[in-house]
Amino acid sequence: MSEEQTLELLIGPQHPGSGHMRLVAEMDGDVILNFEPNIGYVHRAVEKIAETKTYVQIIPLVERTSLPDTANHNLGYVLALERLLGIDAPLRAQYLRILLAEINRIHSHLYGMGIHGNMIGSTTMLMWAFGDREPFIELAQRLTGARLSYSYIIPGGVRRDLPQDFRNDALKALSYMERRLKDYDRIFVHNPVTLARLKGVGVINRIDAARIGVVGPNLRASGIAYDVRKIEPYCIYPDLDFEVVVRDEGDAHARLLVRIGEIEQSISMIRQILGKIPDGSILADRYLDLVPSRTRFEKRSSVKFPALFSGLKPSKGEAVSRVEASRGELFHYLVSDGSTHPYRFRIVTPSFKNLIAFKHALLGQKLADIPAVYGSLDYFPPEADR
Amino acid sequence: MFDAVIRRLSRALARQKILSSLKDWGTSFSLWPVHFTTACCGSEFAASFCPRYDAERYGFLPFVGTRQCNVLFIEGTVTKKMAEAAKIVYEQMPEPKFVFAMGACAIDGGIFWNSYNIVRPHEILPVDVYIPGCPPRPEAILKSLTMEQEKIRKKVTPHPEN
Amino acid sequence: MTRVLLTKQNGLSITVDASKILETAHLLKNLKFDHVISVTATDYPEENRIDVIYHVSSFEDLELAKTILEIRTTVSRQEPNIHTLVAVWPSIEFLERETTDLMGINFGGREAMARLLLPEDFEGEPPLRKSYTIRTEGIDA
Repeated sequence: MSEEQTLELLIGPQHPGSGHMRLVAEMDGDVILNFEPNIGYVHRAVEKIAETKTYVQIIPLVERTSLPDTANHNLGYVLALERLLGIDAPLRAQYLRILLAEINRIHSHLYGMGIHGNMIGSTTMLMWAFGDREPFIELAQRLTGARLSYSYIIPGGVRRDLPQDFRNDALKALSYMERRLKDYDRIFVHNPVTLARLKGVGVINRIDAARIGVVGPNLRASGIAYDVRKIEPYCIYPDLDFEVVVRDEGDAHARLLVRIGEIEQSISMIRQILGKIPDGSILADRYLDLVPSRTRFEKRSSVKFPALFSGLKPSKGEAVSRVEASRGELFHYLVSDGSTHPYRFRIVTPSFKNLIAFKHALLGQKLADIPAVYGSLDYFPPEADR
Repeated sequence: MFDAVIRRLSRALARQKILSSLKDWGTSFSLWPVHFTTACCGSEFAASFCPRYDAERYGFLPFVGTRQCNVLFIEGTVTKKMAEAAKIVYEQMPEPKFVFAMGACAIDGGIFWNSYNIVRPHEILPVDVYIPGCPPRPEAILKSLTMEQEKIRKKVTPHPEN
Repeated sequence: MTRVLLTKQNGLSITVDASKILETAHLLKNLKFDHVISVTATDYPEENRIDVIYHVSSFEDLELAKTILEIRTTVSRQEPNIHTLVAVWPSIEFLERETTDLMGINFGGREAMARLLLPEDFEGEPPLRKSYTIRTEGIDA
């Protein structure tokens, strides 16, 4: 009898509330009894292709897994590679890395918030967030030369130095963003409609969050202060003063608030970086000595990418790295057999870890809550499927 | 009987140059892409509809239902699993319909050229415009749009029912 | 067979027999290692083995979270069977399914699952194994 009353509902992949995946929901009337994401629509075999590419060629490859969040993915991979090679980047390069990573975090969070707003019907939020994302994309573009796919962080340093006037423009963008966050607060974040759609929806409590292993802002919205930037600080995070944004509610609205809090923290971090970035080289001396004309490099202050690194051969061994990407903890595991290609390359992306949240957060919710919860998890399918 | 006569008459009328160019002019400013994201280029696709680039100026409005749309945007890689869905979406759209292939992956695989799980869009769909880039900038998307509009107005794109 | 060693980056590595994996997992769970970061399978065709490597860490104990614990075990290529840990760590669910999909490891003790990442009609060798070749760049490609 009960079997007849339930209905299996397929949502996506062509659906505004599904992204590049299919959601299979078992419904009893309007209530979700069982929820199963069906992914693999963007599985492009990054791990297999990586075995056929040289170490430097993998940098653009890992970026393509998560286009809105390329800097953090790039950084995670390069950290693993540097551990394998046994080199360190000079201090200025590390500052520049984190500068880009935090700029990227801001515009990635805005991307997620915009999509989230659109999913629950607030087109204003979509337009605002995507419009306000552009100043930060522009900043990143002036630093790296590309809108989204930066490939800026290379083994031993970064590709280019800070351009002239960057500091002033960055400070302008930061104060603009601070002003805009107040507007968001009025129009979207504490809008009665938003509150009605998001408060108490898609709750993941503290115990469940640890049990099912969600990561990133979704974990911190459930009251666990786990942030790789604090737990295992990499690059210059120990020198920066910032807080881990934590909320206890664990619902969709808390996840939104955590993202906004992280944007505020990133703004303060970028201010600190711009204030105390030291002078110096942007590439490790070991590679700098290989550049044909060192003086010319120092004048131009940019690295010609392929010539230097095409024959990179790390010694036999393994390396792991984890970084806090915008969507959560990103894990890289690299096995080298001493040749120019990695023997095995493993990435576990935050979206893949967050996938399991769909199965838990949506049980017992209404059908109309699917977009609200989906958007709040800031799930990016190509990142999960790789 | 009466319906059939009307239908034939209207077809004949639509084939008249003045009416068909009017129709093409109208079509060129109502290109509505269906909400169907195939891969990561979707983030630049979204950016091109938002305030800085605002592709809606050209009558280009992303919409949710396949039945109301006439443009299929292939955003980057198409995996084997997605190809099935892409074909179904394309079949559901009403004529005249156009396919844009965005990004290096949609041209010949791009960085994923040797992956075991991708198909090249031209193998499964009749592509009208290719947009190179990885990912293409929003400006490139706007350029592709105006190119396609021109193609429609000059009748380079064959319309099956004409 | 069981070995514990310190890896370079302040992490621990434990090597256990594949048959002991469930006990090890229970033990570690009681030591507050509450989630799995990654399940990696690496194929070594010359030595006829597949290494299955679990990386686990903790959310609850933030001191413990500073380490990533590595559990290594080995299965043979012909019979890649190992017990599932989904009852110990629910966070392993999709990681195990992915490994089954791409490396052909059978995780015993959990119900058969549909394919996760690959198309449902995918047949042939698991693609991440070394014997599954794809085209490469170069003159002889």
